[in-house]
Amino acid sequence: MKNALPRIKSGIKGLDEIIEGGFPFPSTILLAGYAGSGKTTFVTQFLNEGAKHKEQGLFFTTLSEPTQWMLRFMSSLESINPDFFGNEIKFIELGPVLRHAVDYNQILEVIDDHIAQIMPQRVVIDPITVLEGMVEGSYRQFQYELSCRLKNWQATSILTGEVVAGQQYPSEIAYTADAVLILSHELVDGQRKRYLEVMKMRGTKHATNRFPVTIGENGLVVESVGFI
Amino acid sequence: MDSSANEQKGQGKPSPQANIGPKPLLDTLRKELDNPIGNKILITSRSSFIPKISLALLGILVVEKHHRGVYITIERPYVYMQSILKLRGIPISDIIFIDTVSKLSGRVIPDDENVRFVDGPFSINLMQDVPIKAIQNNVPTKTIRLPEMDFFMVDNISPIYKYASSTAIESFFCKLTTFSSKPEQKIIGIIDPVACPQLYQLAKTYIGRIIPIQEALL
Repeated sequence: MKNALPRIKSGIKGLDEIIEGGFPFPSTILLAGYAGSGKTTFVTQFLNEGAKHKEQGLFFTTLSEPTQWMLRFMSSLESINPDFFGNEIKFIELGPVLRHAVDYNQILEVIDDHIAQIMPQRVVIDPITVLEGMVEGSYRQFQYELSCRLKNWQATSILTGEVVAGQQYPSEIAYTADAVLILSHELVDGQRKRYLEVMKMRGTKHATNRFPVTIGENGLVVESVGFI
Repeated sequence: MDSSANEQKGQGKPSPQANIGPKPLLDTLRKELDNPIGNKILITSRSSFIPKISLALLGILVVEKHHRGVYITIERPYVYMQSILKLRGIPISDIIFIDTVSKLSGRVIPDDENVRFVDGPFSINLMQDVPIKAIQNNVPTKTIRLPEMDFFMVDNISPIYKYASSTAIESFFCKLTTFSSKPEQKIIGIIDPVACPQLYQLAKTYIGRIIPIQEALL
């Protein structure tokens, strides 16, 4: 008896068409990219899509930027409904926890507590990479534990990862993630062009092209039409 | 997950503020659970809603109806649902958890009198017997007899197909739905029919009363 994995819509126009209809549910996804490549826009659309269908979203911010500033910019996108903020999409600042945590178990317990309380179907941790320095020596163990727990809570989770020049994605997280998506940008004829590539998605026959990405009033769009 | 971290939370009597689900969902489930037509119930839903439906069902059965029952988890360790219940003040002492994944995943098996562990979801041939054998033969502190159980609930049947053969699954359904010696005992399965249409068709032949839970109820 063979059947497809349950999937949820990504909320990114043009993406579901190249990943068999959506992200596997539950699963843990690494979304890697340089600063300015569209990671936060991507994950906000992901949560917004769930909220449209009565799915609860939980957005953990780490040490990226204050939540109110991020929301201010996201609210300006036509595709984002700000009425969901604080309701169907809840925001949790992990910064204070991270500053005082003695070991990674404390961080995991705080995440567990919030998830058990809210029971979200979609979770975002943005960015996860700041934790590397805090759980030095146990980073892979932490990632493994986090990935297992997020799936066992029955959520599809996106962990964003900042990369630096020359680095494609944070490899420690990629090992434990079920999927790795890379957002990138490069100079083409004097203009910055954005791209998305699906490097890995377990249980999914995904396209292997590098697709152009645009970010406009309608949010982040993967230009996959004509490629598949 | 460190289950001891949750030990202090929500133990004891159910909290009057316990939030076990949205009102439309609870009203629908209450009505269906009280429906005398049949006690073998197959609830259908999108996979992503199943944890919330499970919580609502357990809340109604245990807190409101004061039922005692068996909760079988196929794909995730029991501690997750247990901590969700504790957090909401739902008394877990009235639930026997049958966990098919913790041993397989190499987790530390906690010493918990309310839990029975199966070697893995692959051993579904064994699992079909577990609800009976585990309860009758291996209860260290009190004897819980199967005929006294008010409900058997399988939380998300859908993943079974990934681990077991059609024959084994059919045998499991057959056992699950025929061992009841108490006419009012409820057998409840929850499934995502879209994710697993073949399994849904099979489950329907054993658990005939279908209750679809749509997005609007959540």
